[in-house]
Amino acid sequence: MEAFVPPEVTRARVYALRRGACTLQVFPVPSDDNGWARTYFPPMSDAPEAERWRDQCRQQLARDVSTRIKYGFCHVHKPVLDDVALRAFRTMAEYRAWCEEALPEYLGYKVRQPPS
Amino acid sequence: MPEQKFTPAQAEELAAAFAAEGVDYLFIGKSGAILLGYPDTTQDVDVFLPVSRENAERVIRALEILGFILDPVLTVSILTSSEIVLMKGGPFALDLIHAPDGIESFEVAKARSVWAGGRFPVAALDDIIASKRATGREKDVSDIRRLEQFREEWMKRPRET
Repeated sequence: MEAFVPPEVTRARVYALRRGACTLQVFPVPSDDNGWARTYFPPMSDAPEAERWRDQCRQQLARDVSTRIKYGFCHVHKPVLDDVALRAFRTMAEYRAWCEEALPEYLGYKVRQPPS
Repeated sequence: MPEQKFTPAQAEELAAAFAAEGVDYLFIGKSGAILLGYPDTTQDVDVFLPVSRENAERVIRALEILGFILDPVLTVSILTSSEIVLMKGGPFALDLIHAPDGIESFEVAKARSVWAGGRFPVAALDDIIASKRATGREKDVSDIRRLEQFREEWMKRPRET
C-alpha cells in the first residue's frame, strides 16, 4: 500500500482554516499501523489575498442574517474597557481622551492618524 | 459582566423591543457591517440614536424589556443624550451612541440606511466607513480597506427578497 503523505501544515493553512477559507477534512485514507485516520488540509487557492478576501465576503453575503450574527459576535474580555458595567461620556471628545489615557495600547483604541 | 455573546435570538428580541416601543435607531460600526454580511467578528453591539428626549424614554423602556438593569446613572445618561454610553453589564455588550464621528446627523444617516434581513436597520456602509475613517483609531483604520472591498461586493449582491 502506498504511503499517505499529508500536506504540510503551515501557519497560512491553519489561518485559512480558522477563517473558513478551507475546511478540515478527515478521509478514510490508508491508516497507519495504529488505525489512525489522517487529516488533510485541501490546497489553498493561489489567488491573491485580496481576491480570497472578496470570496470570503461573497460567501458571507450568501448567508442569512441570523447566521451572520451567530458567527459575527464573540465574547472576548477586553481589560479595563470591560471591567466596569457602565461608562457614559458626555462628549465623544471626553471618550477619546479616556481611551488614550486608560486603555492598553494593544486594544487599538488610540489614535494613530489624524482624524479626517 | 456578560459572558454570553450577542446571539441571533437576542438580535430578534432587540429588534422586537425597539419596534414595540417605537425606538428610532440604527445599527452602526462593525456590528452594523456584520449584519450586512461583513465577514469579521466583534463583541459589542453599536446602536446610533437621535438626540431626542422622547426617543430616549422609549429606549429606556425597551432596555428594561431586554433585561438591562437601569440604575439612575444609566437612566440619566440616556435621557441627557450622553454622546456615548458603554453598557457592559447587561445581557450583552451594548454601546449607545448619539454622536458618532464622521456622520453629520442621525436624520442624514437614517435617510441613507438599509435593512438587514428586512428587520434590522443599519447605517449605510458609506457612513460606517466614514465613521471609522474619522476616528483615526488604529483598530478602525485597519478595517477601512477591507470594508471598502466588502462594500464593492455588497453592491454586487443579489437583492434580498
